[in-house]
Amino acid sequence: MTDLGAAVVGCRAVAPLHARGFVRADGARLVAVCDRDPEAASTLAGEFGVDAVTDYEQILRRDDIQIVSLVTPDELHAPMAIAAAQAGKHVLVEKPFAMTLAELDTMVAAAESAGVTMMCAQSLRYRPKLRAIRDAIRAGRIGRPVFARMSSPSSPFWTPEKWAQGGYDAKRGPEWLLMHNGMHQFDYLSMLFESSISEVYTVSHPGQDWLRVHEYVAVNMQFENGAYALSEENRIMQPPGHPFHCDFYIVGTEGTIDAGDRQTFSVCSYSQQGVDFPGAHITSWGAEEAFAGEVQAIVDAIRTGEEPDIPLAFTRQVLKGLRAACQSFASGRNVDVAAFVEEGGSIA
Amino acid sequence: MSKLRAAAISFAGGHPQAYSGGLADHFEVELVAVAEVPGENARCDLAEAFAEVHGVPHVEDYVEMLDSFQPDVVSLCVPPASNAEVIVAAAERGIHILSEKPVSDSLASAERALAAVKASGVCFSLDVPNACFPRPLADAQDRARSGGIGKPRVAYCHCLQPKGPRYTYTIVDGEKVTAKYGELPNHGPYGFLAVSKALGQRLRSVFARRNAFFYEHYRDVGHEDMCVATVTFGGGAVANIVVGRTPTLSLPTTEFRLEIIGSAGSVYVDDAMGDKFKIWGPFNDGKDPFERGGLAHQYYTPAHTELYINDVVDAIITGRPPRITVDDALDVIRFIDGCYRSAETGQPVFFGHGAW
Repeated sequence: MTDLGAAVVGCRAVAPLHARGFVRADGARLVAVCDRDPEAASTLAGEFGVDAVTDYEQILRRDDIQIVSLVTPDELHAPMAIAAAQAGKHVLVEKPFAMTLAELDTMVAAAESAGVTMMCAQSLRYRPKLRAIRDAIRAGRIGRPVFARMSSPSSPFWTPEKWAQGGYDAKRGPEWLLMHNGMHQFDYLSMLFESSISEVYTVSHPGQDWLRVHEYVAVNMQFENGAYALSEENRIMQPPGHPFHCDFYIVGTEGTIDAGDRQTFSVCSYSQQGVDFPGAHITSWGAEEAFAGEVQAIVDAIRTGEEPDIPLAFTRQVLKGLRAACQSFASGRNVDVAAFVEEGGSIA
Repeated sequence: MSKLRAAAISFAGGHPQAYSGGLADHFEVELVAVAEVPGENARCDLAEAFAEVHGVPHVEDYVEMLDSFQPDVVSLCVPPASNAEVIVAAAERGIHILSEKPVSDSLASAERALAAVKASGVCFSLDVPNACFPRPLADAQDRARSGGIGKPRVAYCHCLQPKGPRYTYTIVDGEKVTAKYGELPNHGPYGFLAVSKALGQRLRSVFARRNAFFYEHYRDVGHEDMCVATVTFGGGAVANIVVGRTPTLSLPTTEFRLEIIGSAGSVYVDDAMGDKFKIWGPFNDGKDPFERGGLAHQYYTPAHTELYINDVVDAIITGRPPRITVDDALDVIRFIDGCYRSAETGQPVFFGHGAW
């Protein structure tokens, strides 16, 4: 089988990491990048020596492109993914994958109808440190995990001024940080606990007085298997030099894993037998490794014909939890995910 | 100036050797009597032994003792079910109070007791020294509360102790009787006060989940060994607080962590940091986040109990409020009650103190 031709659509934010993922992937090659902004397209294309395209339809018409990676604004994921599937292209879709469950169902139907592979991009799963944690838990190092606190307090892509200047703030609801970023942790925690989210209760803090989007969102979640988690997205003002990136603390029935960035050792495991450091060699979150991992996952699925690492049914369950959390954000009530019904695709 | 005349009441709850013993040993205090609270839980044997060691009389009924000895201050290690009535009795007589946690086993009686304390104007403090007396923690709280990191906005605290199971039953007349509560009233005050003293804000709402994850003993009697609470405060801050008793024996005595993020900086304290806490903000440009706190922050060391008793005695003598106030005690019991009610109903529980 020849290498799959790939195009990255949307050339900002994490698009360079998607592009590099295809360059590194076994069984795929990057042939084009696409953005409505010619300058953004040509800049990224120049970095990788591939075609710069400004018309998405042109990407869909090309025979040398079998897979597209959508790094476009959240609201465009569904129409662009459906168009790609209808054009016979496999699709890697950035989180949050879809804005509503109805959108997701339409995307899945389009993929099934066209016989193409579609997967949600969940780079967090493929970060070396988080893979080490998953492996430590799978190996039974702390028994059955029953509680996790996962906090992402910073992002190079977030400053209040940037979002205000880009006009994003005016377009988004106050829950947007949860909707845009929360899917990563919802996905990872569901995978780690091997269970679906059954209840969600959300609180937030507005942070900057002049910003519409709330800069801190915490979801107190219960899983069907009884486990609890605290999932925090935090963009509250960080002072210069503040080292917080992510905190991750997991309590199991037989031990504890402490993997916060403030730990001397990157992943510390405490158990009845003592303390060890299964992730001691991992000192960074490995963004490039993470994106390469998710790209390789969909490429492997396409080439083998097997279900991808992150099945669409799993992503649907995760998105349902996230949408329920958004409803909790708006209502201030604990929401039963199984009973959650989306009303017209809007939680405003 | 003459010493404060102190009495110890009850040896059936909490840690009487630490608190009543610590108060008796204070250089500004003179122990004058020891008493029990009559009833099935009374530990007259322990009370008599304590009285003998300190060379003071033991009185079977605490009310009789209060009236006959008229102490200036009492240390209460009374089981929660009887504690409120003892607090009221002391407050009505103008006697200052150090009380074991929780104030009561019901919110209503706790509120009545603490209202009586407020009405009387006596000094009241709660025996939770580790929540705000370890120096790095105290310094971090003071910096956060006094504007050192701008306005506190978000907090996280976990307070997880190994070495379970404990407190799943009490001994009454030689028989095992199931305890009324699990680990929430035991560890909840530490997590809650650690946060609230840093925020300087009053409790507004609680949402909580609780479960017996680790110990059959707790599961069998329907008690929690862990509780995860999401809390909002009247000043607008949001906090997540995790308390309980895990089986991870290789962790420190108590695995403690506190982080507060404010509008202009943040502070961070944990057990692994010894005598330091970390603080970031524009004042140091992030270059030197460490600030010395003075003493190693380790749980359950006599130093913290001593600091706590010193604080209360000084508050009584000078008339200033103690570090842990009656309002703190009220919010602690509301937090515990709110956690139980929320866990039962599956919805948040709201109290007063501001809105946003």
